[in-house]
Amino acid sequence: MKESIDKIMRQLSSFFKYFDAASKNKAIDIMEFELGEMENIFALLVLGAFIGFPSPPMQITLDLMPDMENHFLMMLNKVDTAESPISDLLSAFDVI
Amino acid sequence: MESKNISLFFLGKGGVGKSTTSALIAVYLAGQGKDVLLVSMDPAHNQSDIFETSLSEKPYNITDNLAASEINIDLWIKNYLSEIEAQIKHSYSYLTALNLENYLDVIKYSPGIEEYAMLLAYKEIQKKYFEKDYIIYDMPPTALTLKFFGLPKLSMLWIEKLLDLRNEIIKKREIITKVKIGSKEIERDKILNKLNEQVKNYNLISKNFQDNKKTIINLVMNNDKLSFSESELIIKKLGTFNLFISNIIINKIQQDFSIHEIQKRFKHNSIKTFPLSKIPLIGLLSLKNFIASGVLLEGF
Repeated sequence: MKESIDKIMRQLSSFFKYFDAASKNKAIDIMEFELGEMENIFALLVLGAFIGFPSPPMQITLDLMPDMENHFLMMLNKVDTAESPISDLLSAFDVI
Repeated sequence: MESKNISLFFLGKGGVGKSTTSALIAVYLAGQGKDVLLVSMDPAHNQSDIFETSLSEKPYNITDNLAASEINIDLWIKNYLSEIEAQIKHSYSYLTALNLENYLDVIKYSPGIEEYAMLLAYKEIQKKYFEKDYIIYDMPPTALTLKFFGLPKLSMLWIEKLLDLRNEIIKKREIITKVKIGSKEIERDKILNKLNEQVKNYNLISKNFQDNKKTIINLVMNNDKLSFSESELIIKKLGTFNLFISNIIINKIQQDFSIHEIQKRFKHNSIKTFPLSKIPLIGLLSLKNFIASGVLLEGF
């Protein structure tokens, strides 16, 4: 009897561990998506001059540019997919 | 190193006599035994004509304790952009750097670069010649000068917003790293460091500009309606940057001049008057003779 209860408890524990990990992963995925969007907004604010957005005084952009290669590429990619922002959002939430 | 000098800025509408006035004050102060550097920030570069010599970035000794130089803003822009370009080429992957070359070529025509180049030149001069008693800046006409004085405040507005967002990003990134790896990210954010560095720089410049023991802003004007209106605009605009005019110099005044109207209009500023010279003020001797003729220059 005790063995059976232990077995059930082990199974339950492993189920909850799996469930916890899956929830964590899902939450992290969403946070990473949010982080990506925030980085994109930052890129647009700093580097907007290159795609016709209002931008800060040019020297702020220029001083930060040497450390913003990823932001630059991200912004240019986003410009390509700017016409379908909903698809990005739905992918992040695994809707489709 | 903290500079011990006093910076005197001369600004005003084009043609009112900023260059001559700043040259006169420079010669006067040097005559009082002070160590003076006169710097022309005006692209028109009248100081070479006034002192009848070809001035450059490197200070030229007019007398034992008076040197003069003319800042080449285009060269400052070129050097600044070259430095950024080199950093980008160093830190970006080959293909991105290659694709950016066209963008970088256009940047030199961006509005705002000229006043930043002036700010860089100002910073360098303050640092390099900190031992001078006085550094006298002959400024360009109004529009560019106002942009120069306004740049630290405008930049700070943007940087503060960018800093807020950057801090939010870092906070979020730290949470993700902590959940994923179980420890806080220790790598420092280079962008945050650069933004903090910019805050430090602009705060220092703003503090210098606003310290009326270190920075004395002189507004030169003539006794005419257009000059009055533009001077009022300059005072108002500088006020929005928390900068105040220490002296108003009414230049080229004639016999029938009355100071009362001006005192009424500019009641918060100290007013000084310079008479119209009968001879062109060209050459060190003419400037010295003009000063010797009894022009009141005390208080600078």
